[in-house]
Amino acid sequence: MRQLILLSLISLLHCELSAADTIGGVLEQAGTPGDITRQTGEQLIASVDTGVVSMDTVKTENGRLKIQFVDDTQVAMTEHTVIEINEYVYDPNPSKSKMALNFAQGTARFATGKLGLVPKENIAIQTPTANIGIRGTDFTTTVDELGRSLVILLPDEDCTDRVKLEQGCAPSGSITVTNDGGTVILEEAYQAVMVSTFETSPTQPVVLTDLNINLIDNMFIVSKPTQVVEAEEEQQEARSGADYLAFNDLDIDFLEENFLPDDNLEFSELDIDTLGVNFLVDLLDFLDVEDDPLAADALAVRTGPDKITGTLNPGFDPATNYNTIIDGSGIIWFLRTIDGQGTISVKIPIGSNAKIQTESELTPSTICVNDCSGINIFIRQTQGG
Amino acid sequence: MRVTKLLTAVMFLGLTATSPLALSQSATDNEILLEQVGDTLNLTILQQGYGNKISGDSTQGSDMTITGSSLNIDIDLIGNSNNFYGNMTTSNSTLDWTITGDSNVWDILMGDMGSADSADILVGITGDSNTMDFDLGSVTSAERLDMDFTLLGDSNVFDVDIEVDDATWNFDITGDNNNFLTSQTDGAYQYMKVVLDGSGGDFDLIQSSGTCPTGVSSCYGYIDINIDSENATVNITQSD
Repeated sequence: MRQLILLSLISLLHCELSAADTIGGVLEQAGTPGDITRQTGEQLIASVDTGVVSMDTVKTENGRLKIQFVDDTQVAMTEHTVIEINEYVYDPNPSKSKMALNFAQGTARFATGKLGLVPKENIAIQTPTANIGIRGTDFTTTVDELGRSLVILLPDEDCTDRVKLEQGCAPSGSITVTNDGGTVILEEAYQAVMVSTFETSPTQPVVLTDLNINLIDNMFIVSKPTQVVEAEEEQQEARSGADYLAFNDLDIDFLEENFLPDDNLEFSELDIDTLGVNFLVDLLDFLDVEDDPLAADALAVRTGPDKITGTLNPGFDPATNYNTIIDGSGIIWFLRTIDGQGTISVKIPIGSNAKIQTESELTPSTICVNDCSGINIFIRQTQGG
Repeated sequence: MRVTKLLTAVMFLGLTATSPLALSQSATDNEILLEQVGDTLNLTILQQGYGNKISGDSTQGSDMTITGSSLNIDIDLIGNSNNFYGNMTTSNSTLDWTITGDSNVWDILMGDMGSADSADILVGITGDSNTMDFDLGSVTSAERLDMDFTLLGDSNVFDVDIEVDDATWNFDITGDNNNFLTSQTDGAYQYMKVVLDGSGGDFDLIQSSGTCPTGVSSCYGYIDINIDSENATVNITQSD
């Protein structure tokens, strides 16, 4: 119903404004309304049916909202999230339509329009540390105060019931996460990657095996299900009673029973508020710890049985000038670019044994993969022949 | 009016000589002797058998010579112990060469006596113990090469020297104990993509840039190697 109202609003605004102005609007809103800041500096309250235009900055504080664009693309924002609409061009000719969004802060879920009115190749999503190429339809990003970005590819829309959850879900396409450190492709449902800075390579993709769509949906609930509202009302009534101590269930999370699977969570349940906005930020912190090369156990999780010594893994090592990337397709990728000398890219399958010796005017290095036998690669990268 | 010459030689025993395309028969093995001058040639040769040869004037022991632009040359050698010797000066040409068999010897010089710009070369070899020596652009201009090479077999020995600007050089080797030496030199923006799949083998990859285009200070190259092997030895030398 709200979609109809929004579409009506958009149609109405089309009559009042130029066609290029209104590109969508607030479809749902909960909690304290956020605000929309126009390029002119004008500030609007982001309540339901408020329209958005190109160059708007949409911000939430202690509330959530969902924006729907005219091509049916939806962006759901949790608390303390900032999104900048850098460009939105909607043209009857889809090839001329394009969208550019900057996910500046917080947690947001992006779902492309089912109508396909904006070609995916014309959609550009940025975070402070990565560019996201769209070949899928549904993913989340979380950007913390340091600019670190966590991107999770979500499953297709059919993956909803319990049986499908247990059988495994198909991804909603694939997405690329790119920065100066390289490109990672996410192509499995719940596959996630974290990017710390724009210069360092994205982490190895990991599959968040105990995440499910209900958990994700919980974070982006704007219009809460009736039973949730009822539970909250009951809780509120209980809290408003004369004797707080007489109520024994104050600490019960009523949603947990309904939405959490029974199996074990890889990410400690005790540390996760499944409905809290900080859930993905918690995951982001978790993955960041995993990225610490000094954490040997974490490394084992990240790269399976492979042991890589002699250079930072993964990421760029200024001592060796190698950027080591575990690219998610079963490949260990060593990339060395020296300005004025050239680029050498070496890819070997995960599980290989290899030694890569490098001689150059810079520091020589020896990189070992697993037992350092097997493939022997000698690289001489010099300036001047 | 554009004149297209079409020659389809299906060689089982031998062919007689013509001019400017000279074909003659050796007294021993089957031979195709080519001395071709002219543009827009479409040439297809299918040579089947054992101990055959494609070369030039047999009385002088010379290589096959082909000179001209906008050529389409499709050569298919099927059999063992065949020889293919040639010197080609061809611009804007498409060359599709296939060798199926063992112990063949292939020695081609291209761009030695004249320009060999904009060559599109596709080479496919299936067999063991073959020997190939291919030199491109050693003397004259041979810009904008696009060369794709696929090898499926063991114990082959190849030496491929490419001395051109703006070359894209892809080769894909599947097999064990192959010995491959290739150099990509004296050019700008060199790109070499290598896929190796097989046990053992010795691979030497050399890439060095030459003079950059006017106004460009850095035109260094790119080597992209993808290896799936148990014990290959790979030497990569890259210099600007």
